[in-house]
Amino acid sequence: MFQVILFTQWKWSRAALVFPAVLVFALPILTVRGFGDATMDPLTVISTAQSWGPSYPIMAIVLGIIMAVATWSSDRNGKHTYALSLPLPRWHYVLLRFGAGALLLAGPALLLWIGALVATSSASLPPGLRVYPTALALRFTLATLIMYAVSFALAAGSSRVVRTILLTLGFVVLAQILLSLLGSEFDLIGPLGNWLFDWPGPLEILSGRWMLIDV
Amino acid sequence: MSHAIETTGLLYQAGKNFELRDLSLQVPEGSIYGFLGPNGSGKTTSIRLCLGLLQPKAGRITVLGHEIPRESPRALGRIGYVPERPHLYQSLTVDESLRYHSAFYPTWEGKFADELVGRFGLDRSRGLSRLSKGEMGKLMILLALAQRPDLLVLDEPTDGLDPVVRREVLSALLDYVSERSATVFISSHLIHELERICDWVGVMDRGRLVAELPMQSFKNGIKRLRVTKAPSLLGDTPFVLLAREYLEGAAETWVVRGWQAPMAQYFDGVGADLREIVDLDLEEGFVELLRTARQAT
Amino acid sequence: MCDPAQAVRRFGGFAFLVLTAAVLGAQSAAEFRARAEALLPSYLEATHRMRVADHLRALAESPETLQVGHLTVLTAHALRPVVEPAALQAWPVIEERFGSTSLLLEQRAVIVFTPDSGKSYSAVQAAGGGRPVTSQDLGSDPKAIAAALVRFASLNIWELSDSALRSWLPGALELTSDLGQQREWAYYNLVTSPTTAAGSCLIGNLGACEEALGIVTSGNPLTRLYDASGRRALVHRFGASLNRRPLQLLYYNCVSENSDAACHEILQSALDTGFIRKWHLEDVPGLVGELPPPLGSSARSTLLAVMADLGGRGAWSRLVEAAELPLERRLASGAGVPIDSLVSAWRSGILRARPSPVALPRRTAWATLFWATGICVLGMRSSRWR
Repeated sequence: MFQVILFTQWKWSRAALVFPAVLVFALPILTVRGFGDATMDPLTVISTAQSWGPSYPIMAIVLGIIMAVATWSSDRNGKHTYALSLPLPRWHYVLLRFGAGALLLAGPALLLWIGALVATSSASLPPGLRVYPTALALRFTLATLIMYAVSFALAAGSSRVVRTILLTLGFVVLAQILLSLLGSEFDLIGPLGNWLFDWPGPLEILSGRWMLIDV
Repeated sequence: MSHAIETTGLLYQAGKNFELRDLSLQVPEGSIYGFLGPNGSGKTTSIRLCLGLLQPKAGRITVLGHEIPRESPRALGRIGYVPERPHLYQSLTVDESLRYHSAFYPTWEGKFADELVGRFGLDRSRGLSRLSKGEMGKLMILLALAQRPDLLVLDEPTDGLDPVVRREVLSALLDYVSERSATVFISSHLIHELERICDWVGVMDRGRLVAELPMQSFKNGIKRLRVTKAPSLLGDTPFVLLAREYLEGAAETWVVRGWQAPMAQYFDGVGADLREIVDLDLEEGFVELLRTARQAT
Repeated sequence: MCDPAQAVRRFGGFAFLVLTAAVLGAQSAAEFRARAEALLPSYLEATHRMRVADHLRALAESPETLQVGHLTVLTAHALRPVVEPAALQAWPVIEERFGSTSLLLEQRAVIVFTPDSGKSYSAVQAAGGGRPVTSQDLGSDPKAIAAALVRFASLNIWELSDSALRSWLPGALELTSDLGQQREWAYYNLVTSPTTAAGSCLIGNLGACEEALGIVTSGNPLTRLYDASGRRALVHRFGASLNRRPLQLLYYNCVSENSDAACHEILQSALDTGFIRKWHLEDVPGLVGELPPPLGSSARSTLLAVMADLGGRGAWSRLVEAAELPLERRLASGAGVPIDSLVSAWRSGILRARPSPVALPRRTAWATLFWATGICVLGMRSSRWR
């Protein structure tokens, strides 16, 4: 059963995944491009690695969303009739779909890891600097997973749930704008962002240090 | 008599304009049950409720002995369902669809599926998005049959198909039923189609079940009578008077249900003359039935 | 009189024409590329000057001079409502930081203006009627303009301070930008520096810290600051520049044969001939000969920030006034504590600024897995699926 779910998901998502996956593989190689000799200033190397840092979480977000959208697009087109008429508990079906998507996302994560290993093995770094291909790939895997989970849950939800969430977010933004217009210093979005991106928030993984090279 | 589908006092609301009220269906096991009704009468909603795709507000549903929606996965394992609109994944090929579908049904019979593929002339390598409407209809019936179900729930399965394809599909269906003694619950607004194959019929109108009876009774029991000199107030009648239309003079037209020949004596008793008995075909009977039901509400 | 904007426009137009002519005249792609590359800097320079000239002309049409403390701000009339609160916000910060030293600012002025009808603002620092001009876009946020004014103040005070200080920390003193970021860079500098002084400083030797910071100097830097592996790393760093005649054999022995004597000799030779200074990556002369300083400008700037914090309001005045004293005593006098205490406080700050580890913390991994599972369960419990 999981096999056919995996197959359908692969078929639906492969076209959309190819380009981001290639990009993910290339990112570490692009990061270390030019680090061909050990004569570089270590701070320049760190600075370059830092400047490439945001590309990794961005790609994780993109991949997570693409996979979640691909997971549900066909069911959504058929108004979920097929999925709902299959002889298995609904939670089981959702779990199979989630598992298949998560497994497929391991592909780009693996590519990143390989890309990072290839890149770091070919780069010659100044003394004092270390490479972190595995840590980066692990961070990427988890970031992709959480973004996939969030997008998956939203896409799996009924339109009422999605509407409620979007309306709530819209209300928060609107309230913040109104407060600013009234001259109030009260910050609604800041604490929300802190909750999301600080430990133990769900998106904390995205706000960490995405460094292929560090001390 | 045990029932493949049984609903009691079903209530379901969809928005403000549509309501399914007090739906009590009884689909005898082994029957071919035609579910009739005009568009928007609630046939598809009733089917979706019976399969557990929708949740009723009140009432009880039992399908093949399983309570719905609590036990719907177990029930669905024994049901072959063909929805009103194609629901299969358009990006798959016929072969991939067969493989996908078979993975969920332990009762799936690959050999039978292969046989049906040949019989329907389907190209296994063709993508679903490139199938014609007829081919898609055949594929959906194929998938439903190859899982060897005890109950087939078909929601307007031949709607929009050409007569040749329709005949192929119905023929395959009848072959399966005769071989397996399975129950078929088929909804349609094509009355003549159902007339040929169904042995039970249920009629829906505006969210209510207005009639449920054996097809034979439905076909034979509805008559149009030409009557003169009938009293304006009638007492108990041995038949069900569905409609009474006053013509010129003392002439009237009655539409009755449950008619039998000895009932002609009734008119002598009330001082009226029965001038003519006209057989109605199923469609006319259906229309009269709906008209009566609407007048009653 | 020649209108500068007009002149620059003419120059820009001329450059553009030349560029176009070069394009048309080029017989091959390579030729074209070479010509275009040669002309591009001139074109960009002309464009830049044109913008500056436009700005100055706009300013001259409706000038507004704001005097806040010792800070003089020139701006267009239309910008006064934004610039004035920014200046009022900036001045107490400047005074708090530099005390009486901020008097030096009277010698300078800053110009704030908008290039396009009030949509954006630029603080200009390079030349322009004898005033410092820069073309940095500050946006319309008074807070950003205030920060730029404070930055302007620290840059200028440093520029006007004595030569001993400026040679210790050449270039810009940026105390007002994000100190956390500077400390982070100083940390990176500390742990990646190939010098023994930085290594010893990292493990707590305050004397080594003073050496690494260039506060005290003595002896030959090649032997005092570097060990064998450090010297080899240094040769590596200047690799291609040193790997040529007559140093080629030494280079080979140093890098390939691991000969420290060869490393020492090649570096000494390069120092003697001024070769290292020529190829210096940062182009910043160190205190020790012409070798790159073990710890660069971020580390030194942060040391001055710690001095200012410890010394309070009069810290800068004391630092500037004691111009005849050695650097370590000047810094100690500014901070109002012994030099070891100052360096120790600096080192603690740098170590505290150590960036969080790149390796994924276990708790983050677990939290992410927990959330992913929880969100998946929420997806399964969605009303669509019940």
